[in-house]
Amino acid sequence: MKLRGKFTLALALAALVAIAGAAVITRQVIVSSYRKSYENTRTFAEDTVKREVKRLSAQVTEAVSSLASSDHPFVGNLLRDLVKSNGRLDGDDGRATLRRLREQGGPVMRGLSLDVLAVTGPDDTVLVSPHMRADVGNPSPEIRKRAQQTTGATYFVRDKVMTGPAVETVLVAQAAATSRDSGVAVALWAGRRVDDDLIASVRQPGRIDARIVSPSGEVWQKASGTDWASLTKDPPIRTPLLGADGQPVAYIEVAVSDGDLDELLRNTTLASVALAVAALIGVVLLGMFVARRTARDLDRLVEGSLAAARGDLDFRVPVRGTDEVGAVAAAFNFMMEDLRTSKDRLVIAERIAAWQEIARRLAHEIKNPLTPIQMAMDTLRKSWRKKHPSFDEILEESTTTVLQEADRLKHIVAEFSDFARMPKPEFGRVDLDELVRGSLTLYKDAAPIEIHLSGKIPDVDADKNQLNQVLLNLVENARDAISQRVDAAGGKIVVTTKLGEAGDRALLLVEDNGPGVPPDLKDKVFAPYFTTKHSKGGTGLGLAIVHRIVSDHGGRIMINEVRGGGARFTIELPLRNGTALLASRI
Amino acid sequence: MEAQLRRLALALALACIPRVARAETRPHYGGTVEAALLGAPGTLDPLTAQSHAEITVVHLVYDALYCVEADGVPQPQLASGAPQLDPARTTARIAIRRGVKFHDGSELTARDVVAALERARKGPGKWALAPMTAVRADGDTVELTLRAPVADLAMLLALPQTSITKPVRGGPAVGTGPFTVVALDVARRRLQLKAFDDHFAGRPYLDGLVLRWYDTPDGEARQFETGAAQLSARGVAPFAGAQPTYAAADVQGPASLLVFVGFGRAHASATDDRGFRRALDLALGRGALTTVGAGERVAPSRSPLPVEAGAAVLDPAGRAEAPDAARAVLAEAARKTPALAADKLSALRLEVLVEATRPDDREIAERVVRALDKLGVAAAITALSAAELRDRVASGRCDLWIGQLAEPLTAAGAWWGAAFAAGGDDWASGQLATGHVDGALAGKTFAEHLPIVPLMFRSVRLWHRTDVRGLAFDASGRPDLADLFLFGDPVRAKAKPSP
Repeated sequence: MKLRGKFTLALALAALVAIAGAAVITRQVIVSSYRKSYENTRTFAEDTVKREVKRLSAQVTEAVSSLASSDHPFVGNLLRDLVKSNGRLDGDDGRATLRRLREQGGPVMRGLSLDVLAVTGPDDTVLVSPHMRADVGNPSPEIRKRAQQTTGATYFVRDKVMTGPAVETVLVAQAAATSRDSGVAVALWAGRRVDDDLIASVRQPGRIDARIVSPSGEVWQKASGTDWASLTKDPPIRTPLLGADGQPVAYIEVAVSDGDLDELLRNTTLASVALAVAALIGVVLLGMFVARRTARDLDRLVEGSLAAARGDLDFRVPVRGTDEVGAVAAAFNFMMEDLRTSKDRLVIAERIAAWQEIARRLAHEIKNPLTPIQMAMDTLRKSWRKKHPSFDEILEESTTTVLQEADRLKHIVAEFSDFARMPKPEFGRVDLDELVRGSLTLYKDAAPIEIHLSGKIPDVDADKNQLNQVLLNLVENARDAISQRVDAAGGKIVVTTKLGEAGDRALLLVEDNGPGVPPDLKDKVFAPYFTTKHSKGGTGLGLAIVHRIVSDHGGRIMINEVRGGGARFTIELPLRNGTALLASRI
Repeated sequence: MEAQLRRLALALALACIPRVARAETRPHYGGTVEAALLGAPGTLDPLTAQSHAEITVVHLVYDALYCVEADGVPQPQLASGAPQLDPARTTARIAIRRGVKFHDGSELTARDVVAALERARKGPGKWALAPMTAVRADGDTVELTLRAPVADLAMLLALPQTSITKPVRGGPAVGTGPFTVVALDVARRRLQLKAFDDHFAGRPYLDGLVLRWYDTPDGEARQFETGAAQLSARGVAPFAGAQPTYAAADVQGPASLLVFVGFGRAHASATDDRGFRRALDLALGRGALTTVGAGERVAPSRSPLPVEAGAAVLDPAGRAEAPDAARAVLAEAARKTPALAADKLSALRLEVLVEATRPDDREIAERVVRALDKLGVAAAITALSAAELRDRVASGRCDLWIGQLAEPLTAAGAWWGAAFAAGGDDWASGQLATGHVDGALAGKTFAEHLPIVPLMFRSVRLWHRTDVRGLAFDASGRPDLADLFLFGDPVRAKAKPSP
């Protein structure tokens, strides 16, 4: 993975870890706070229900107490009529009283915000019952008994009402009382429905819900929500509604939802995830930006290194800041400057050394013919002084020697001149196989050359003539090598082209089965004027020229031994240029 | 001074002259009276009339051969005299009154009477003509052939179902009654009638009658108390101490309106069962029904026969509800009828139909629902228009319904016939065909069949402004509005002291 990716990944991981940690801590804090609030809400809901039940009971008790008072016109007038008629409501007056009760019963009941009202006469016959007109005229001794049992206190009871088309069984907060005047007594009970109104005050949509159930669990008043069971995991708060006998008639169940905790946590998680994603994107973008800036500087350093490798010591990396990368860039530039200075000095030194070497070798080469010339001229002068009888022959022989050595000197000077004036390569697209095939046609019958061409090598950027010279020099070199074999007929030269393993370079191999290159000479064979073939007129510039051409093409040349004897010269040429070959190695 | 006093006395005398001159001494013709009906008329056809409102309207628009006055004695109406019976008493000849005209101007003939009676024999009230095997016209006389001697033939021919009608193509049948129908406006709940000038008994005093019905007692009371209506069944009753604008008086008819529970066939497996009906009968306390209504006379009953027609007076035990006995009867019935098992009954939700403009029937329906609730059967009241109620009942698409029957108070045969027929039971019709219904046998059969559950007989009380006079009821409890007349100016009521 590149530095840019590593840097971005590291930043993203750092951000994720931080956000995850914050989310976990936030979640714990929320849960803790919520549980506390939840318990407070449950307590509040329970208190509210009890307060509402108490308030309802007080209202019913007060309403019944007020109704039962002989001062109340509804019951008071009834008692007066009953006293007047000796407790019997028959005849026209009695019917008028019953009619009046019937007319006033409903308004009185509704005026006191009651839902149930029944009054029985001295014979326990229902005189008025607005909530259940069908009961009027029927006996109902329970009312008097209930009044005696409860003495006006409110109790809860399931009662029948018919305010619509059908009889309903409803839960009622009821109180019963008797009212007397002059020995005549009536009994009454009245009450208010325990319905949605009572539990509505405690409800908070989505948070608190309530319902009324029987002791056996039958739901009498549904919760407002649709799914009571899933409202909370905790058991509901149960407030009993006691009947006249003190036993629970029903329970008000209140459930406080903890579903919003789940929702809260879900939202927190979602927010954390969203934050993490946003942070991740931000960090990735930031990381990419920073990494790109950093990597760009590093890329420049790489580019600079490649340039240095190519020998371009004038390359400089821009210094963008004072940070570590900037310091590296400055150091690189300093190093390049230093290298360039050193190289200049080295070049001068090498140049001097080279010239010294060349001068030495040249002097050596020149010195060699001078001795025969000097000796021939000395022999000639001595023979002439002595009037040697064979002076003519000696003259012929000496001048011949002088001329031969002069030619040799001339040849040496010409080759030196050629080597010194070797032109720069003129690059073009060159088919290496074709070049080999064409060049070695000349040796078809002159040398035992075996050719193996790849057929897959793309064209290379090269100077065709110079490459041709390289190939010919190496083949000539190989011919000289195999001529040294004892069995000259067994010599063989193999020329091979193939694609490098990495596919980025072309290989040209020339091997022979001659005596090979001794290991101690391997470092010298490419030096100018190094030759082991003085006797054959070798100048020692052939392989030097080969080395220089290969170098000018950005390639390299290696010499290896061949198993069983012989030498193998391997030339690597970049498919595009020397820089690419170098860069690929880096 | 004396001259001055004489001039003053003369001036006072002159001032009094116009008032004295306007004072009336006899009924005068003219005027229109607005009166209330005891509910909406579901039909104007005599052949199907059943409720009090329907027979009241039929009485105004149609005549029968005979009519029964308040004394219970049949009197000739379109007949010119009592039926003439042959010695075997199986053929009756009835002379038709001459000069009687239908509302379309045509004259009544014996053939019209024959045609009307033939139609009646095929209608829902056919039980009334069950003794008759044939009828034919013989000049101005109609000859009826009977299966057996019929003691109260004139009584049967006085029933609304035997009214004489004449079909008119594309419209309701016309009659010969004192009023003709001008317009029936169901939406505004009013029926407008106009005096028939050629009525055989003479033109009614009033020019017109507007009959109205209400969906609430308050509406009717308000109409009467403000003086907009002159006759009301609610009158001043709904509000104790209320005082109408004009002085009013009331007239109460006989307690001859039977209120009963009828049965449909929507849940026939339950409601057709005699045990179920018997249980309902026991669960319904009759004594408490005396509080129903606005103070009219109420006679609780378990028989379709009024006391005046021979039924026994209900004793305290009979007046009381008996829910335990009712449950026992139902449990016993459930052994034979699986549909009456407790689990099946608790799954039922019966429908009790009631006519929407009869608030007293609504109160009775509440008691029926309450009684069913005590038996563990859920029920609900559905208030319908009179026409819808009639259709639902006729087609059997109901469970229970509250109905009314009005027959001449003392006509036992008519009561038995009407009661059995209202429950779709032909037993009484068969008995009537023999010319006589045995009371004991009818009572026993009724108790066994229970085609309907009788609840009470009630009277109808009508309040009228004091300037509207001539109000009377016949033996069936029908108000005879044909004899109404206006007498003098309306008298403002005196303010009552606050109670």
